[in-house]
Amino acid sequence: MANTLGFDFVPSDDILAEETPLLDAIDELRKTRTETNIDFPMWVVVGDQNTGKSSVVDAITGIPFPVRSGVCTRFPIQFELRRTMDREETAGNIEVEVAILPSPGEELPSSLGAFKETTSDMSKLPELVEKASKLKGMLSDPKVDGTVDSFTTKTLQICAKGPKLPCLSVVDLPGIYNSANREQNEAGIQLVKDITLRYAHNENSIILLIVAVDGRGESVNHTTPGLLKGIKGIEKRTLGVLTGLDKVGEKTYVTQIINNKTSPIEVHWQCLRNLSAKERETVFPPGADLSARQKRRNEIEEEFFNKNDWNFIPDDQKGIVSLRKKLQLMLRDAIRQRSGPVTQKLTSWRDKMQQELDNMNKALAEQKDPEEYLMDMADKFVQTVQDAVRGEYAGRPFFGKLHDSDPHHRARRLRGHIRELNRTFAWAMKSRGKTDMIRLMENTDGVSGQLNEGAEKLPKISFLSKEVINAYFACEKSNEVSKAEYEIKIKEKRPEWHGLQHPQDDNPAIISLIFEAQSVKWKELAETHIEQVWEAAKTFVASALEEAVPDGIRQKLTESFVNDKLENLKHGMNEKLKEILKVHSRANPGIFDTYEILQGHTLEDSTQSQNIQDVLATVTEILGLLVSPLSAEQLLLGRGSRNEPINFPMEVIKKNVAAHFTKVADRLKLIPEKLASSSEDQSPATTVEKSEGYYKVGSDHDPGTGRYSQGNRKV
Amino acid sequence: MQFVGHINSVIVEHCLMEKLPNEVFSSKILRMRLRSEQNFLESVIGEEDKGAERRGMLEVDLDRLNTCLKALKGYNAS
Repeated sequence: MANTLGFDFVPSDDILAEETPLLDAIDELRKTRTETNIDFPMWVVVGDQNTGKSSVVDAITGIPFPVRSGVCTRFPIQFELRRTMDREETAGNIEVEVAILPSPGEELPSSLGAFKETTSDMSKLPELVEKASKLKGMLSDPKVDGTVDSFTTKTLQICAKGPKLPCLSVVDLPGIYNSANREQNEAGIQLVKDITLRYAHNENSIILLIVAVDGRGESVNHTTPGLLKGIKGIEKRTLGVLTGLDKVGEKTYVTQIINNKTSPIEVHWQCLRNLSAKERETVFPPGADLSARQKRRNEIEEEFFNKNDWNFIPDDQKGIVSLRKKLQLMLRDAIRQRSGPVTQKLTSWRDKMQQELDNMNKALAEQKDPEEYLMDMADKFVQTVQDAVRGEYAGRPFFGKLHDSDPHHRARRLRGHIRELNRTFAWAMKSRGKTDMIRLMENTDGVSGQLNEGAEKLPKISFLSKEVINAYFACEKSNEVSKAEYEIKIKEKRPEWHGLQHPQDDNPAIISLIFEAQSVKWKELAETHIEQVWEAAKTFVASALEEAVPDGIRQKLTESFVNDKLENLKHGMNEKLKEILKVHSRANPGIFDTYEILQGHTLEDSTQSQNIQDVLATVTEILGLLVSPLSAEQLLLGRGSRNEPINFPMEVIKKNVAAHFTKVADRLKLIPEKLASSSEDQSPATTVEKSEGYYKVGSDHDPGTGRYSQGNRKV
Repeated sequence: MQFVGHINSVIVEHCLMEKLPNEVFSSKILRMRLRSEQNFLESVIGEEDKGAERRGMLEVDLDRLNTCLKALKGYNAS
């Protein structure tokens, strides 16, 4: 009979008693957050699915493990069982703590790291395991088609302490499977094999290989033994467990297995009579006393081996009691055997950690006075802001490079950004600032004409985002009116606003009122500008702080006062706007006192020159009619085409000549009218013109030339 | 009197650009804060000291390691 382990089966309750302090220390060490791979001898339960792995774990630990048919273990579950010495036997309840350990070499998400549940009610354990498996980040969510690839290398740790517990460390791995279904997909097949192999290759793993036999006594679901075959030293540290014996008819096969005649690897075998899921439910209702429960389980197993003819299996290879002793012995031997390498590894880890801690303490001691540290940050920030305000970008990587179009860097070149916003504001003011936009002159058809100023212009090239430009042009478009229409409109208002003036004169107040009506959108446009400029500054400040201040401090400073300071600036800007609007809301004659000096001509000259331009346009039109060769040709032929037969009856020529000169005469008549209106008619045209003059001087929104379309739109 | 020029000079330039270097975050503002808020320095610097957490972890883990090594001593002697 093979006994590859060569156990000395001395029955003892406390095989691992001497090891308890070390095992406790190792348990404690596994809670470490600075190192995830705590390598120490422990039992690892491996096997195919549905071989009764969890039932074996249940039998070994005595802890009612959540075994439900159809539900498989989706992550390694590590049991740490410790016998407490400091308790009275009678008072001894088991205390269980459930936590999650990270995958090897990875950090645990804080949500999982925070998971820690304790209970002394064993019936609640399945609930806790279920709860852990449902934590976000523990398993991936089911896919749309309902399939789940939910296996994970994260480990659920169940630490149980009680006076009657054996000292054991056992990891139950997810069972190996070969065909995918709704619950477990193709990806999971390899993942579970990889988990098993990772544990199997570790020399600190003592393998408990579970193999189930079928009705004929042959081993079924036996991918795992083949998987383990060839791993260095695996047979010396593996214990085979045969389950499913209650279903066996022909026992010859069992003999062959335990004598290693059929198994791919040669190991020492232990035979168990597991309880079925149904038996577990009926024999052990939830809340049943643990020792009574275990006692009953062992009785059933004992009865089974006695009743049936299992004499061919040596007693020490039957049942849970001797199995548990072997487990403890193997663990004890492994600990003793591996203590050298383990000590070495832990020592080197300790030294590394001590070094890190020493370095940190040294750095802390060398760190500058915290106040000075903060002041340095402030100085660095101020320097950056000053450079950005002055537009001194050269030689500072913070401001980016010539061709980089990263908007993040662009926003750092604050002066350029603000200037572009100023220009956009000017364009918006010019295009939309005025309520009624007056056409300069009428064309001969009396319908279309050039707009006096502005017209709708949108910036053609700008590095500002579309959203920003749209914000400036979000206000209503200006109304377009002819000068004549506008004059009539104002003339109609004259009687309503009459004071004590001559009936032909306007109340001067009306000019202010026109101005007020014309500039009603200034407030909205200026507010938009302030908002955009402030946002640009705010974005810039965030970048400059990012450069000068480390993360944690930056957040604190921003919350503490930086945000408030920025708000203060915005408040100051809006208050100043109120003042400026107050000054600009009405036309103020005083504003023209300096106009003549600065511009070199009076405002009246300026309006006169507009009327003269009007006259000149009419003269040009007349000259055009007189000298146009096409007109002459049309006059003689009466047609526009040279290809038609020449036919010039005198009647037609006479008629066309008459019509043409009538047209010229009509235009000539316009000249004295227009000249008169420019020099004599003072009302209401002068009122409109005056108000136009006020508007021109008051708004002054010439943004310069260059980047935007300069052409006035024809209407 | 020019509205656009006025906005750009008085508001954008004077109320924002000129004030930006000194009225958002400067050593003067810090000094005032330090005077008016007693725990200001601790609360600001404390946030930054991520090292403290790591240091705490290392100290706890070193304790655990030393306990383990002490327990292992007996094994290696025998």
